[in-house]
Order: sequence, then structure tokens, then C-alpha cells
Amino acid sequence: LDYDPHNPIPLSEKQGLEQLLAVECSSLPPECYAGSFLYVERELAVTIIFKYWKRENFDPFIAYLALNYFDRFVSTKRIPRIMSSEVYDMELLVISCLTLAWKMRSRSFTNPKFLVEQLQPRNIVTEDQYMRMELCILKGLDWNLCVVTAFSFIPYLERKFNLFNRFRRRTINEI
Amino acid sequence: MEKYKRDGVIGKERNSLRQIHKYRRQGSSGGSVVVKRFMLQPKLDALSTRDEEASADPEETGVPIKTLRQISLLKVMQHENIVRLVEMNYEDGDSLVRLVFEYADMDLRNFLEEYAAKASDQKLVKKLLCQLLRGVAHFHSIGAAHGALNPKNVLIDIGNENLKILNIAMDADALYTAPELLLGSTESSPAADMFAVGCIFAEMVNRRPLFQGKAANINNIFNLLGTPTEENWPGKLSEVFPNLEPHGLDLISKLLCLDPSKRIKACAALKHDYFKDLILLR
Repeated sequence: LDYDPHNPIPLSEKQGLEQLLAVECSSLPPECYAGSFLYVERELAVTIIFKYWKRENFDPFIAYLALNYFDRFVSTKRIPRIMSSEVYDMELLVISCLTLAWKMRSRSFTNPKFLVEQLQPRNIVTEDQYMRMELCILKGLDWNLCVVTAFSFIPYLERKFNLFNRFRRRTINEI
Repeated sequence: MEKYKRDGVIGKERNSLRQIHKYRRQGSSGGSVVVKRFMLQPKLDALSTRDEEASADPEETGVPIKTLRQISLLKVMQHENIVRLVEMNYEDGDSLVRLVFEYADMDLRNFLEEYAAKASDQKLVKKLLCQLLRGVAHFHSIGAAHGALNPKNVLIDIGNENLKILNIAMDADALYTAPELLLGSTESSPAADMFAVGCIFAEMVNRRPLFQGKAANINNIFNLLGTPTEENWPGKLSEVFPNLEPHGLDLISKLLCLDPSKRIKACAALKHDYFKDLILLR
């Protein structure tokens, strides 16, 4: 089952908005994050993610999801010391966020090539280091990968709007 | 894990010899839990006990997709008829993940044995079956299948008569396995779950397993339900369940339908006339 941004968590008939809101809390970085000194790191992460996005041309939501994992991780945890330098750690962290997001979203993901190609010239990541980074992130995020984002509320709002008028999905996306 | 003390075996893990234990919480809080282990190690070490359930895809690096999705789904899975994940803990530099699930008072098998009088109440049977179907329907609605339903992983809280399904990838019990799986199909499917629900329903009604005997019981199934070459209408069911109301008989025949494509779906089963007179207080 691929992660669906519009329907990220299994809801039973009765639950709905309440559960979405409850899960949304665990899907957001803390409030203070916006004003923190981590914007340099974040900018770097965005650059890295977009670099790979251009090369691999993946679903833009993967990038969005990866950045969500990144934000939540760096705002609450220290960047793990796994590689030989902090710069490499940072890059591996971003890439691992990206691969985790990819794995959640699409089954077509095969990363050995991806990893090797991306990092080879400057820096070689062993499978063990990669696995350790992924596990660090998963633990840091408490395995909360089915995140509730703004996208998740669209179907709900759509139903509400439909009560009044026949809105189309596109109209709502434009709003 | 010091908080917990081992308290009996529940079953075996799928594709593995490892046993799944039940634990009792130490101290005042009480209550039992079930623990499922995930070993997450890079493949470099060929002998390592990686998560066996994960596909052995040589292309896959890092945390397997299946494990990733399974655990993150468990984190957000909330349904009153599905056992809840209460905590996770880590060992060995985070590569050993333990998932701790709540456990109820007892499993359905014990309930049928120890509370025979209570369990023979047909109203209670109906109430429990409805909850079982709700849990199963929830699994199916998210595109998952349980794959190993049997009375050992259907749990009952005696006090409030609540039923919860435990889903930790245990070995399937051949006595609850759908005929298409006994005949060689390997994928567990929602339809196969429904066959197991039928067997469990039958067991609740008669308070003994529907099919008895060792290992694969394909002969038993065909004896009861007719061989697939004949018409698939089960003929002998009314003899096996003399005490079951006609609607119940109809539902059971639809659950035990030999052809998986014609077997009733969980959501349809919940709307069956058998439940018409059921008022669930929630």
C-alpha cells in the first residue's frame, strides 16, 4: 500500500477529522523550529533534495515528505555521527530522509544504484552506515512516517464544499 | 524489557522457528502484552537474522520497504477491534526493534473452553462475530490482509465482551486455512481471511473447531462443502449446525464458499441479515 497524501492513515467509519488532527500533531516539527538557527541546514537539505529530484524526476510529494522527515528530525534530534565528517553526515541524513519517503510512497524504489551514483565521487557510504542512518531517523521520528499534512484535509474539505456546491478538485487545489 | 516477564507462548512467527511469547507486566499496572521483534541489519552479514518476512529482494538496501510500511502503519492504526501497539523499544544500536502490543484477558480458544456457559449464548456469538468482522473489514479497507486468523489471535476481554484481533504475522493454522491456499496458492488474501472468519464463526457456534485433524485438511473441507467439481453449494451445513438460526446458516455458507471470488466480503458480511437484530452498545 503506497502512502497516499490525501489519505495517509486508515480511518474507520466513525473517526475522521478528529483522528487526522490528532495525528497531525505528531507530523509537525515543534513551533520554535521556524525561528531556529537551522535554516542553513534546511537550505542545504532543500538543495540536495532538489538536485536529486532533477536527476531522478520522482513524484514531487516524495520531496515534500522527505523534507517533513528532515524538519522533524533536525528540530528534535542531533545529527548522528556516522560518517567521517559532519558534512557527509548531513548529506547522508538528507538522502536517507529521501529514500525513506521514496519507500513509503512508491514500490518501484531500488536504491543501491541511487546511493552509489549519488555519493561515489566524494564519499562512499557503506550499507551499514546507510542502514544506521535510516534507523536513527526512524527512531528519532518514532516510526511516524504516515504523516498528516495539509494535503490530507483536502478530501474532507471537498466533501464539505460539495454540500453547498459542486466544486471540483482543481478548484480546491487552487485555493 | 525488564518491565515484562515471560508468560506463555502464543504461537510461532511466520517463516521462522522463533516463538512469540506473551508477557506479563511487572508491578502494579498488570495486564499482558505481546512482543514482536524486528531484526534490522544490513545484508553484508549473510548469516544475520534479518527480518524474515521482508522480501529477500537483492535490490533492496537499508530498512526493507515492507517493514517500514508495516510498522509506520501500526503506529497510526486505531480501531477498537484491533490490538493496539503500546510501545516500541530498541536494542543493539537500534537494529533490534521490539513492538509491544496490548493483550486482552484471553484468546478465543481459551474463552470457549473456560467460559463454556457464557460462550454458548448465541447473542454473544453474534456480538463477537460482528466485532471480528469489523476488525477484519478495517484491515481490508486499507488494502491489507491478516493472513493467519485463528482462535489463538482473536482476543477477548471478558468484562466488556470486547474482541480484538492480534496481527503480528504468525504462522497460519492449517485448520483455518482457505482451500485455495491449501491447494497451492501462496498469497494470503482478504478472501482467505473471510474463510478463516467462517471457521471461527463455526467454532463459536459449536464450541469446537469446524475442521479437525492434523495438517492440511483439504479432504475434510471437501467432505463438508462438496468437491469443487460439483456445484459449490454447501449441502451439509444445516446438519453440522442444528442450533444456528437460518440467517446464521446462510452467512456461514457464504463465508465458507469454496470459490474465493464468490466468497462474501467483510463489509458485505456486516450488512448480512444475521446482524439485523443486533444492537451494539458502544
